[in-house]
Amino acid sequence: MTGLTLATLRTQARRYVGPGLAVLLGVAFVATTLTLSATLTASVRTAASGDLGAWAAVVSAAEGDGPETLPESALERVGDLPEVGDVSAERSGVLVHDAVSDVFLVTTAPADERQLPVESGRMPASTGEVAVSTDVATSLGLGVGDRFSTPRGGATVVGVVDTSEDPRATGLGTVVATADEVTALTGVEGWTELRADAADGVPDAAAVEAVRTALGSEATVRTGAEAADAAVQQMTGGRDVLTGFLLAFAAVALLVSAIVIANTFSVLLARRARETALLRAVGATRAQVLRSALLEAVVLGLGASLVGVGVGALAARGLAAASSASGLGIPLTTFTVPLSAVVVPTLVGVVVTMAAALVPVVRSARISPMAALRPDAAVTARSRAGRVRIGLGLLGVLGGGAILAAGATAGVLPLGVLGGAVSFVGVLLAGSVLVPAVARLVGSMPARAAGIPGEMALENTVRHPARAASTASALLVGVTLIVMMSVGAATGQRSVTGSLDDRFSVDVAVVATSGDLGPGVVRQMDDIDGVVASADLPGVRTDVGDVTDQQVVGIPSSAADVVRGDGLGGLAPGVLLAARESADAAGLTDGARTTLSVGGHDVPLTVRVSDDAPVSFAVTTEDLRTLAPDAGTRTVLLRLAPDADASGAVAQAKAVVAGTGAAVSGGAPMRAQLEEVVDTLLQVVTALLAVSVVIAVVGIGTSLSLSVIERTRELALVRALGLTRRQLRGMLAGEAVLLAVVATVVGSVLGTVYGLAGPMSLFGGSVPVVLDVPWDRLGLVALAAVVCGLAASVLPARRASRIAPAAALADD
Amino acid sequence: MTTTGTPLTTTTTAARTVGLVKEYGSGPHAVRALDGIDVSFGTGEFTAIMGPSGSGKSTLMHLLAGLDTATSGHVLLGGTDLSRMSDRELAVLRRTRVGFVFQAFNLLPMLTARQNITLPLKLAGRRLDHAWLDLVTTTLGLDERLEHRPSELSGGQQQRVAMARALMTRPDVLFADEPTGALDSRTSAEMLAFLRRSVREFGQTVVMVTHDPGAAAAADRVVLLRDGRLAGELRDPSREDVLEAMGGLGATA
Repeated sequence: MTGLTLATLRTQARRYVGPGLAVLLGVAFVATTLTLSATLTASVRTAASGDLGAWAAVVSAAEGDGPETLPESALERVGDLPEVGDVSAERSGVLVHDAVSDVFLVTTAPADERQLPVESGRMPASTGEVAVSTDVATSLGLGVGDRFSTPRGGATVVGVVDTSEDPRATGLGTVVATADEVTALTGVEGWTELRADAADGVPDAAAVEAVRTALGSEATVRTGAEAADAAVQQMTGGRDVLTGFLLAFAAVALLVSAIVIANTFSVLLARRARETALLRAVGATRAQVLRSALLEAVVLGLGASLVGVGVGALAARGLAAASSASGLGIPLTTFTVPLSAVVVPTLVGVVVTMAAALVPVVRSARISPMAALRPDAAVTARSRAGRVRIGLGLLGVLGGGAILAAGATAGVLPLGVLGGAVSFVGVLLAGSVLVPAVARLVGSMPARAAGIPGEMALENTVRHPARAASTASALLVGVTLIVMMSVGAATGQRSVTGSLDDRFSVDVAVVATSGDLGPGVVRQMDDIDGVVASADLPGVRTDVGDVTDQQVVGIPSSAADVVRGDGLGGLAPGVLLAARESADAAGLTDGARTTLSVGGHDVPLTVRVSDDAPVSFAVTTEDLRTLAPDAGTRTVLLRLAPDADASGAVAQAKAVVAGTGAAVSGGAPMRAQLEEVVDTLLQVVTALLAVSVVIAVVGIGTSLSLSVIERTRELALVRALGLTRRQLRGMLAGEAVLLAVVATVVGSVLGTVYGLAGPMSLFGGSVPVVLDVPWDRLGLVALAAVVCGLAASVLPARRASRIAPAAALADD
Repeated sequence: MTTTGTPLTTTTTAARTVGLVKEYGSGPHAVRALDGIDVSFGTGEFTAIMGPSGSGKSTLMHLLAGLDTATSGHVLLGGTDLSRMSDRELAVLRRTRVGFVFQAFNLLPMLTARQNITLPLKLAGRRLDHAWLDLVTTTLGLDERLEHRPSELSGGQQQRVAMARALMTRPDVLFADEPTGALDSRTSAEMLAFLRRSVREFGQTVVMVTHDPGAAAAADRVVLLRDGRLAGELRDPSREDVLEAMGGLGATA
């Protein structure tokens, strides 16, 4: 029987291209994910731990209540040990730079200075000298010879270093200094970390033990490997979210592959029904027929999976290179293909192929051996489970729909997810009723318009309801998920934006951190696109209650047009409006009396505590002028039009105040950030789901090409009766496009329902959900579906048009 | 009368039916295709089953060959009762003790002639008797065509490959269902000659269903069926004998 299986695979190789491609793509997805994940882990390790793993012992201060650094003497005590060779000591601390409200890491140079290549100048050699990282140099506008000044003193910049290879620098600007200068700038004393090598001929374990004994309970001594693990753990939080996220989409792709495989096998085996019957007649047992067909699936699955793994690894390599080149995030420099990225996808591919082929295979093995004896009878394997399936499907749609509705109204996410899944499975099961019905609904008008080929395309599509349903299902999965994500994202975003507007009384607040904003800034703010109203707030710095040096702003009457809701409620001459947390910090309560003084002017005020106040402390402009007659503009508040491009407005505001140290805050930046995150996520998700759409399109092409083989005589007959080649191609294109459109229509309806139910279940009434259907995106999906359908029909149509009209008369 | 060999006297029985009944459907709409058939087929004998359309001749062959199961009654093949056998046992019986030649579609298109011929042995996991393969394929004039696929063979060659396959397992009975139905007259004559040779030279029992009086005349014995019952039989008939007997059944051949 193995010989038979291989002969079948060899002689009918072309028919396996479609399902093979479907498996290949799904498996490649899994392989890419696992390879990328391994590469990422390895790269994170390199990035996070640097050369940590190469040291024998890594020493840091004991955890607990004791000092956070090792004592100064520890370096000598470790260095003097006979078991220890080289020792490197690091002293580092954090410096908060007030002027730019930024945090820097101040540290000694690493033992291996190659980790910190000098871009210009040199490394600091004595107290009073520092080298800064390129990002610090840029943000502070520093170059070699400039003075680096901080609240704790300053130093001369003697060099600029490249920190991209330094594991410690991630996210923070770095300042390199001598140990004494680190102490001067940060106040940190002692050693943050000691790294020791074993002396020649001494095993690492012995060196670790010696260091442990010498330092006792005051230090934590780890091996280099342990320290590297800990660094990775700290950087990644120990969770591998990315792999899970990607694998979820790989699973969707594999599900679609499975639908395509099941579909192809049922067509292939139905076509081979007479051969199967002949095998049974000459004495093959049902088990032998079954085994042979399953072996076919295994060989197909294995072959396609192995190629898929190769393609996946190459794709991962390309992605890693592209990601490193783009300079985003962690450079994926350590390309790794772990054994698991070969074995797991291969196994998954074989198992999915077998599982998908199982039902058609079992069905085909049921054929009666007598079917081989009827020379002319059209033999098809029948499905008895049709009615049960449709019944279950309807039950799933109704039941799942009810659960989904309950989950959405009650705001219970797991219930919503369950309802969505059940109803979707229901739709898939009931597909053999649903798909032909929708096909007639959306197809009859255009079909009539397209004449005979169009009408024939429609009839051909609905002729095999089960096959049409399963072909459309493959695409339905991808379309539903894409539409669900698009509608869900738009709806969620719109709903959250609405609630953000309610929560933030000001769209954009530009607040100076030192000095005034200056008239130029104020004027430019008015010119930002989408700004409908603005207010300039003069301000002074003074002591308020228990806190010193606070910004107090004066609110002009024009602010009423800018501030939404009740933010300024209660502000009146003689009142100090304080935001809740600022009032708490200052030790002021609602109704308390306090006096502000600036330069000899005193103003007594009554405190009003507000939950919605747009700034920390506010008085009327008149009161502020009394307090400080010359106060300049410290804050500008902007109101944006409801449909304004928040991201754009925020970016413009930031550009205006760039370099002045002013901060941009308010509801719009939050909205902009949200939009950016949601848009990026949506793009990524759509790209990932696109793989499953490609597989589905392969499925449509396969299904169509098999039906062309199956209908050779019939197609030849219509050609003999006078259908032109062009009309024939048109007919097949019509069949493919119709299926694609049906999948798109059903998928869009389902996706929209799920996309609305999702945010409802998620927010659970805490945010009023407003449906937002991104029509442009749905239009794109529909267009893509039509194009995909046309593309899928190209090869089958070419084959069909080669059929000679005379073939209608020949035997097969 | 075209037979030249001495008519064989039936000494042993290769296959036999006892009160064989086959009904299709159930209840008042049931169709009784076979209505109590008792017939024997002698070892080494070439029997043709004839009858008008719907007489039950194909059904009788299906039951004899273990392709289908009886409603009641028994089919005995070399002393084994087929009516009690499971689907699996029937499959094993078909590949070891029965051979088939059909009207058309006898061969698996993806296998070569040799692979098609040896298929029942492969299915049974039995060893190939190379001497027997050589003898059968030489006798049938196929030794040059063994590595060809069915699409590269003529209709007559395809039928001979099917015959070789049927003979490979030295079956108790070789069943032929309209073996000449799709062949021209010259190839038909050749095919019948090969069937006769297998009876004469290999002592093969052959049961053939046909509606062609010329083909039936090649048999040692013709069993006539009408409405699912036996309607007489002829020994060593000529084409004219067969035509006359068929006429008596009220059917045109």
